[in-house]
Amino acid sequence: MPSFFPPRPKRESIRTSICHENSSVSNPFVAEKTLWHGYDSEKLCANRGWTEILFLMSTGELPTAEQDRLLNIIMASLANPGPRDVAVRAAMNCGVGKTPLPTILTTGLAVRGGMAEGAMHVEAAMHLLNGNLPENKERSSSQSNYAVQIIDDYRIFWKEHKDDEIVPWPEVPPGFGLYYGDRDTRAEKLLLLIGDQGGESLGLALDMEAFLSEEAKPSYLTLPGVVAAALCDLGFTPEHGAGIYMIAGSAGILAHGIEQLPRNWNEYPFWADPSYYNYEGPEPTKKVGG
Amino acid sequence: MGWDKFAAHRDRVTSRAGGWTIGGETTLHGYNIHQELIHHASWMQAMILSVTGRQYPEDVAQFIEAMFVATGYPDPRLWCNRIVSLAGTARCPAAGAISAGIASAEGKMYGGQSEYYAAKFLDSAHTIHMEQGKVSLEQFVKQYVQKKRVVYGYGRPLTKVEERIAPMERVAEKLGIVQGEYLLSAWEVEKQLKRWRMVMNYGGYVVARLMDFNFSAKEIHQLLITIFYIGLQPCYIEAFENEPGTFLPIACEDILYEGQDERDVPG
Repeated sequence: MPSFFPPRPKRESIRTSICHENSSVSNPFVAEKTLWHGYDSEKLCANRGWTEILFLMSTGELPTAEQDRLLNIIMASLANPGPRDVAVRAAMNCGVGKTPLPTILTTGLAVRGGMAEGAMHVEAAMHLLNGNLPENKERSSSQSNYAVQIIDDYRIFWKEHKDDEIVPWPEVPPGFGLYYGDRDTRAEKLLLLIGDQGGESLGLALDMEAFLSEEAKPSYLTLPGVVAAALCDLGFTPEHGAGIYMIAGSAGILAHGIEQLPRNWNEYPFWADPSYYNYEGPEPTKKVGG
Repeated sequence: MGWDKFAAHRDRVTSRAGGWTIGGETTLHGYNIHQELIHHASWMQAMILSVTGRQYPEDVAQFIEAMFVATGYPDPRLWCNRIVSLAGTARCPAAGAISAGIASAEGKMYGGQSEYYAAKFLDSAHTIHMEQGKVSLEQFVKQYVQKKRVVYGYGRPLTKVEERIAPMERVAEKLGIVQGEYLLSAWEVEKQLKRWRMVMNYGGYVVARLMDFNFSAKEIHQLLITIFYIGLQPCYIEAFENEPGTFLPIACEDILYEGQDERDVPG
């Protein structure tokens, strides 16, 4: 690469193993050639699809055809969380309020990040399935009761550490639970789509579900749980998995948010009738200094 | 039916914090906003009220306000400031840019999460200090450092000097705010940590002071979300007003690539 400037100390350089840009001979800020994990980005774009490049970015390698097919199923199934979803509704609220365009998407994505059904939940579920909740717990995936052991360990961990982080850990092992009070049919549908393309993590998740579903208060695999298991099987880290869950939903978040842009404020509910609002606080008679 | 509880909340917003009677009264935690708060409460008093539901006296609110001013450094090299500067140089709209800066400061290294952890640590250390004395506290701190290596509220990147605490102590003195039990325990912890060359950092100081004002760890985290706000605004504005792309542009050769050598895309 042509050099235009004196070398700078290593500790003051940005380090990356993902992207390498060779500058043009005449401008140090313009890249003549770009490598993504060693592959020429132009050749990649000409020969590979979006999910393959997404996989490459996160894992460092291109997926096999089977891996790409599974990732496509996951991404496609999550493409539109629907107009009742919290993240989509946040984007729609922005849209009807005429919020600047980029904020519509980022607002929706921010709301998709939570521990309840969101990206943090997927991340936690992936940590659980990887045997890392809690960390450093000695277990072997070859032991016959491994699925039950993971659940028991999580419950002990939850009791001791539920409030250790700024967002509490869920009481029910992440990836499992109910959806609006019932078994999550979205999870069952995604499992059907995945068919036999899952791996060990999905098998483990199903073993855990078999145990949890027999308890007095049964819980089942949820959509984020199935996604988490499939992303583990694809080799994503929990952090990447959480991000992929967000990216996958961005299509619907964007479309629903922008759909509201041309509409008037009164074409989107405010729940203006006083009967909708239930105030349970103290009478507003307090005095400052009183 | 499993969905009963959801049906009960359909078309029904419930709040204990307050609300707005459309075209009429507004309330916040039992205070009438227009008839009472705007006449008698400072912005910081109202903000503390919004976070905790409790009203704090003017001098305490003034002291907490100083905490926010003391760390509003408008230096774009600082992590969250750099984010708003990047947003400014990219000509992003202001609210999204500042939101990104605030959100980015909820980090473990220097921001929102570290204050939460610091509060959790200090709560344990203070209980041991009060109930079992200095020797037990020393053992606790030693074991904590050996196990975790990091003690939130102590130590600082780049420098071992904490320039914000002494001026804040002068503010406290002027306002007649004494050092409380949590702060005294925090200083005691600092004595133990000196052997590892860790000094109490501003986060540790602020957390100890807020705990002495009866804030919980969650309330501290919630309140301090905007603590860097004053520094964010000028960084964004300057970068926005300058030529787009001129905030710390990075040349190709400035990136230290540590990845794969070039390889063929498989057919």
